Amino acid sequence: MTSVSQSEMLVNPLREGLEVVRSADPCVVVIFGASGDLTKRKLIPALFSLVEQHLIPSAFAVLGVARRPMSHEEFRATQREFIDAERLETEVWKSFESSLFYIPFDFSDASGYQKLTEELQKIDQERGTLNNRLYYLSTPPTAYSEIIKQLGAAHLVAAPGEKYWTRIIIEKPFGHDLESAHALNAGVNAVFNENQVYRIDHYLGKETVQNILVFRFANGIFEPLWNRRYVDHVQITVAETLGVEHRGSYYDGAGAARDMVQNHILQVLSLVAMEPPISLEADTIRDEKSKVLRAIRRIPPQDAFKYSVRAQYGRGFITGETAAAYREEEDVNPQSKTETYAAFKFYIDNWRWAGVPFYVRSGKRLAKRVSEVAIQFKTVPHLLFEQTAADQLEPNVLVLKIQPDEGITLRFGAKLPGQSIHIRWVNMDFRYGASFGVKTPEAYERLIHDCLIGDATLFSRRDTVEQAWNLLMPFLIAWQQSKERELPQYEAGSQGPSEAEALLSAEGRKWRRI
Amino acid sequence: MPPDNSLEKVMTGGSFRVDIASIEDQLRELWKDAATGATAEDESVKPVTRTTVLNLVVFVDSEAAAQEVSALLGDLVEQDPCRAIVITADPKQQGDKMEAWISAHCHRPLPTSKAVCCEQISLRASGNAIRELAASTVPFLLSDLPVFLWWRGPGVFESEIVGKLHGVCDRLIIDSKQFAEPALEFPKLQSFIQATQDRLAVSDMAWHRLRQWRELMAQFFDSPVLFAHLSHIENVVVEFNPRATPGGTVPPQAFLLAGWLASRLGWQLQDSRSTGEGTQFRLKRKHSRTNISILLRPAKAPAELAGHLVSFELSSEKGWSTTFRIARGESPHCAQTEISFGQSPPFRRTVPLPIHTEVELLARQLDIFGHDSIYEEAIAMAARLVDSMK
Repeated sequence: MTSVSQSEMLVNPLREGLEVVRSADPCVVVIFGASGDLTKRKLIPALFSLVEQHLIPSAFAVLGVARRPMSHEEFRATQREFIDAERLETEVWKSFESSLFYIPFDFSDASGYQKLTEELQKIDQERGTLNNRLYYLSTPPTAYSEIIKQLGAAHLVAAPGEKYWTRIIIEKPFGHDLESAHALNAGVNAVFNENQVYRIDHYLGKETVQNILVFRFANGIFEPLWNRRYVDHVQITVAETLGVEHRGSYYDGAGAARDMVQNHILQVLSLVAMEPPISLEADTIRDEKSKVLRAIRRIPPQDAFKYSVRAQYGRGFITGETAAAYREEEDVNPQSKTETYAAFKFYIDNWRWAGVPFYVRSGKRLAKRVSEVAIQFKTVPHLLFEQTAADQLEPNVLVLKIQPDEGITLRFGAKLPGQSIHIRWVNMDFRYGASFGVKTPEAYERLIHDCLIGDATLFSRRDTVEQAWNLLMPFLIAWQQSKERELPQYEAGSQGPSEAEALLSAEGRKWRRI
Repeated sequence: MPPDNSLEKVMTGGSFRVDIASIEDQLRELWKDAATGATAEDESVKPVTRTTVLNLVVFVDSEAAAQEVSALLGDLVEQDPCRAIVITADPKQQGDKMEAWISAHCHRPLPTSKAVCCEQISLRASGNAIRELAASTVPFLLSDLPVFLWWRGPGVFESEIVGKLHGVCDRLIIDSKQFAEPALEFPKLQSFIQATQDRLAVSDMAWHRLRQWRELMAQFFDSPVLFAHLSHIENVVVEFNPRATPGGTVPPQAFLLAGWLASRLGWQLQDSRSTGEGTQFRLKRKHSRTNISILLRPAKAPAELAGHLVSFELSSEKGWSTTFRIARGESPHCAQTEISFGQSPPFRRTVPLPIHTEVELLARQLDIFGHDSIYEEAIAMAARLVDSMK
């Protein structure tokens, strides 16, 4: 079985010249864990929006599966919550709603999968969905292995050479460490071929993340500078003002490195550092990303603290309100040693990036919500202008802003008008919102559609997931084995822990202000 | 220098008259003030950002149309910030004169962000000065940004202004829905496309109106199971809400849709005739004797759909009788798609089919840069269809 559907091989002459190269194949989307929040908050609104954009064919259905007993009608009623009232009133919603179905069963009960088979056959007959299936695992990660095993046992996965397809979307976290990621992947690949597996990282569905590729490879002026000769260092920041909200019990078992760095940040880093792919095929891009992750220097656990900083937020003041300390949050262990801030210094040992540090950081309860990649260039080799207190020579910085205020900024020096030469550092600013007023699609919408048409470019492949874990494991082990009584603390609403400054200051660098 | 109150006036949607020779200086002064908020006394004139991603030249033939366009541009710049140059050839005005105004369109992408502003230059000419409109427009085009010429009036293919501007424009935007006499204008459009092939691409708002019909029809045949039916289609019916124009009741969009289908499927036109139902064209597939019929016929529809399409249906009687149909529903903003095979119950669903506003259609044209060969082939076939009716 390949993930290339038959419709990709046929050239529909009526499609020529249309913006959408092809719509999704007829299929049933089976959502495991359909009674949960993600289904009604993100998945159903994304699918409905795809229907509104004519990206989903008429032969289509959604089958929700969860333990909670519910009828089709009750399931449909629960899915209305996050659709605007005015869209709910339309005939389009009524038509879409009639394609939503639900069956309750326990994921570990083999007879449930028999029920699932019967229901799917019935839908195929009634709606012409041609035996194509997309399984979406929207369950706690602990259920993944069982569901996958049962799907295999019930022969609900298309074998190679079949005329129909099966794909599966798995939500992060893809394991808790390297060992569990290996085990999960082994279980997945025992039932599904790798090209049927779509590991979703919604961060990659963001327009600005995708724009990194366009920015680098559609512009002739940046790529020649994109290397060790001109770049001094790179900073990648994902800062949040939010605390753990209602995810205390999950987050306390994960922490910032697992929650953000292992997936989002390393994916972004690999897009920034990768070599030009030979085409836009999913695997050619993912091959290049994989090479970057393989080239990142592995740090032995005994050196982990030289290359990383972790910390936890204490009480503080943020967005006009007093914020509780992490250990005071709901469902968090009052003695927790889970990090809410993690910063790393990575080196990519290849010809392009040798000697260029990549500093990455992510934290909760920081001063501002910001996600960005900053490329800091080397300063000029010789100081031509007099340096006074007013004329500090600064480096050029190119900032790719992922959120909020998506855009690109280039910082350069300009002469201050006047008799003598004084330099003022200014920003040349491009903002998506100002130049393109079009509403960007939700990340889930983009990613689900990509999966429905069999495009895996924006999904994580097994090797990159495992490489990312492999890279982080020495740090996670060192942190766990540390005899420190207390983690470094930082005040909620601040720039982060002072210890993080040391990661850069020893080399004469400093973090950008959040 | 701009008048003292010019910044407030411009930022709040007004315009002020300027000497043509000093337009650029006046704009420069205006934006300098706006950038610093130097003359700001109230919220509406806080410092702003000026953004421009393209040049948009709009031709209109009356002052009233120029006013309408200015209002449309206010909405357009939220999606496509541009330097707009509205040129009015006003034959009703006395004398040979040309006058100029400048104005701005501002909006805030977010309530807390700086206002983003775009500028509009308006040139109005009468008498012999109309001949100078093209030459007067060119100096105001910003270098390195694409130039779109939106022709919002009649006589585009005969216009001297288009003849003079097409060397500096990248794209001409028209709306063939407004063609009063499709039998005359489709052939002219086809000749124009051929004659300007190397220099200019043509965009048609009517083509974008058909996009959703084309998408939905194409979608039926994306499925490998249904794809095979495409080569057995024998009957095509396009229903429309008739209009009252000297050139006939069939709206140009019906010809364009039929032209698209026939050109995509490589059908060759045999002849046409008027029947009691409507206008029927007979076509053939290459290397096949089977006749294909395309029938354009009027149908009842709500008044707001005047001149719009009502349904589009492809069918075949060979083997199983199959029908693929898209029809506007009770609500004019929705359509029902339907596939039926023989006696089996049809697969039906409802999808949105909004009627786009002029601004939405215009914004879509500004995203397209190259030649659209599919459109050009559809126009060539539409021209043959209307020609066969003579």
